[in-house]
Amino acid sequence: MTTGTPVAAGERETALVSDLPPPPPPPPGSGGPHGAATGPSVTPPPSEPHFDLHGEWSWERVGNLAKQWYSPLAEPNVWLNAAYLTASMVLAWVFLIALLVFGSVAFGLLFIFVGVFLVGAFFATASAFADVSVALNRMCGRDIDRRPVRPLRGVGPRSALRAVSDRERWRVVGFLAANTLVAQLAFAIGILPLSVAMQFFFGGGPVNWLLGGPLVGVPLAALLIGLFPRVVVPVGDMKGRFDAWFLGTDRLAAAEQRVSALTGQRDDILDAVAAERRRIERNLHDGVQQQLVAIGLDLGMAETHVDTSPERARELIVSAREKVQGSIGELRQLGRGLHPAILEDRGIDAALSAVVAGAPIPVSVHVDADLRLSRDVEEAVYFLANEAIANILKHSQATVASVHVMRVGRNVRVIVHDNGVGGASVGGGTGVGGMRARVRAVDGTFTVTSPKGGPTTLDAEIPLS
Amino acid sequence: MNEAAVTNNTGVRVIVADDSVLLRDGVVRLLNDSGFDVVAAVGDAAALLDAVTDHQPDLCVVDVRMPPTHTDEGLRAAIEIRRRHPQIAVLVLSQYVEERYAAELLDGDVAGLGYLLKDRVIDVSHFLEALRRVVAGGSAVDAEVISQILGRSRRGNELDRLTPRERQVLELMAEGLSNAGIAEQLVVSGGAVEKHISNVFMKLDLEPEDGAHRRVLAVLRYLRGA
Repeated sequence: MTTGTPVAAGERETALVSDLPPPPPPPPGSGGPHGAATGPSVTPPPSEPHFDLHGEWSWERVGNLAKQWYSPLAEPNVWLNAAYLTASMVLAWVFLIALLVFGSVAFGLLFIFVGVFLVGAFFATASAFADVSVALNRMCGRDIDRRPVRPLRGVGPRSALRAVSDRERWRVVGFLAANTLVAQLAFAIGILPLSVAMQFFFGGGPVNWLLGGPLVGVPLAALLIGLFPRVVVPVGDMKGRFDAWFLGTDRLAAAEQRVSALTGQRDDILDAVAAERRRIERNLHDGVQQQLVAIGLDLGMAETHVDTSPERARELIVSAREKVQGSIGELRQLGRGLHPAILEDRGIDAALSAVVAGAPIPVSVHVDADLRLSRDVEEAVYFLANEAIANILKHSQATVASVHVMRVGRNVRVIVHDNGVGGASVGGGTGVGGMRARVRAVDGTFTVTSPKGGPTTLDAEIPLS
Repeated sequence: MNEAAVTNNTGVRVIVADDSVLLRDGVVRLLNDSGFDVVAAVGDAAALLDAVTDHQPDLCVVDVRMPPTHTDEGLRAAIEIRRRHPQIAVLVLSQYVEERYAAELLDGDVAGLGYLLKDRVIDVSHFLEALRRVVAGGSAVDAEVISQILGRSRRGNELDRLTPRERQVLELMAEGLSNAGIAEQLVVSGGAVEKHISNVFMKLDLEPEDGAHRRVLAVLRYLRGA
């Protein structure tokens, strides 16, 4: 929240603040919560030790000042950053040498075709160093979200060509190369106070000689040791930012990726809606309408027979009545596919149980007892399971099937399994594409495992919110 | 339905093509009851074409929508049958009336050709009448198709010159009814129908045609503005 004007409306501020992490507690002794103050609140700067060199001198004061000056040395962050800078510098050389070896061999042997098998190792070296760098940063409390790099499949000229033409891979290589210099520099600056202090202590250095011996050198070195934590942490942070720039996700690119994913999803949804409408239209025309015509035909024939052969007319009327019953059943099923009233009234467990109750094969339903789903998610789960069961009954020749709905972390997972003939695929025109579109519409993931000969397992995970 | 009608249909060999088993069985039963000889009942266009080659029937009753795509397989098959065996009469049944389909089907010679809404089968006697007309080399165009063609016709001004009765006669002519059929439908005498017909032809500047199906062709061509 970076509003320049003071926020007048308290409600508005709380509404916005509720999305943010809670503010840090006020420093002790700063006069209690400052929210009661009118106008924009002024948060005091973080409580850095404050050195006041004026005033009366006493041994106690000197002791306090020394404590303040050296206390950051006790923070683990200081030593973690020092370790990070050191490791980054040392490992940079190790990996760079490995990279140069693999690189020269791989690209040198490309023309006799052996090199293609080493191209993967070349990029893997750079990638491994990137992994190490990310891990080191995490150790210091800096999380870097790695940029996605498309995995390579197979070994050979084609995958080598894909790797060589992948900009993301070269970016990682570039990181390793640039890091060699930058890590060296960052290490030198970050550790500088400590290394100079060491020179004073252990003597012999030109600095010591210039400053006129240990009488000046030792106190200076002692001061420098206190300066060390104040240098190494910011330098470590800056180096971390450098790593993040190379290796971290580009927010704009991530947003673009999200947009294109959403666009794809939207198209999938529109396709699924169109397919759904076609299905409904077909069910109406080819199902109910045909039945009505057939009923009409029976009645029309009965009409012509009613005088000449009442017995025949009676048969036709009975046949018509039976068809009416069939039509009513079909209409009910059609309605259930459009909007399952039972889902709203009794929840997902009851709704799915109602779906499988009419199935000609045993289908077991297991729903986690304490599962609470939002309306959208519930509908998605219901239609997914409904469609999957319909598919099983229509195509799979299965003799038994099961539906599991369970909570897994922040997702709800739906697994539909059958022992049928398998061979279901997204492009197979068996409604699998529609199911996937439905799941993706609520940001879920969908996989189908269905080898020829079976069995078939649909596995979907949908975020709970 | 009377004894005469039954004997009339005797020996007419029919193939029924419809993927809805329920309706196919109903139509087969109706045709068998009415004295037709149903030689084959099939569920898709490929089977229909095979059956036509095998049985050389007098008439095919064909549903427009059949597997695999459920769009216009029946129509394509009907056109194919007409092309290969012009002597076989074809009656196409459709879930809904689509003038474009009708235009495609009725483009050439309409002799021995019918295109009806599927629900017309419910009106058993009229449906059988249409079948007989088509088998006899006439034609049967659904009233719904005619009214769509009329609605879209660019001849609106000229058609306004017709009296309501004359307009009715025009529509029935377009459906393929004979003079006698028109007379029966409008409950008027044959002479009155003839008078209306000659008025229609005169007002619309059409050459009088002999035979119901040639008349259908002339009227349809006129209405389409050709």
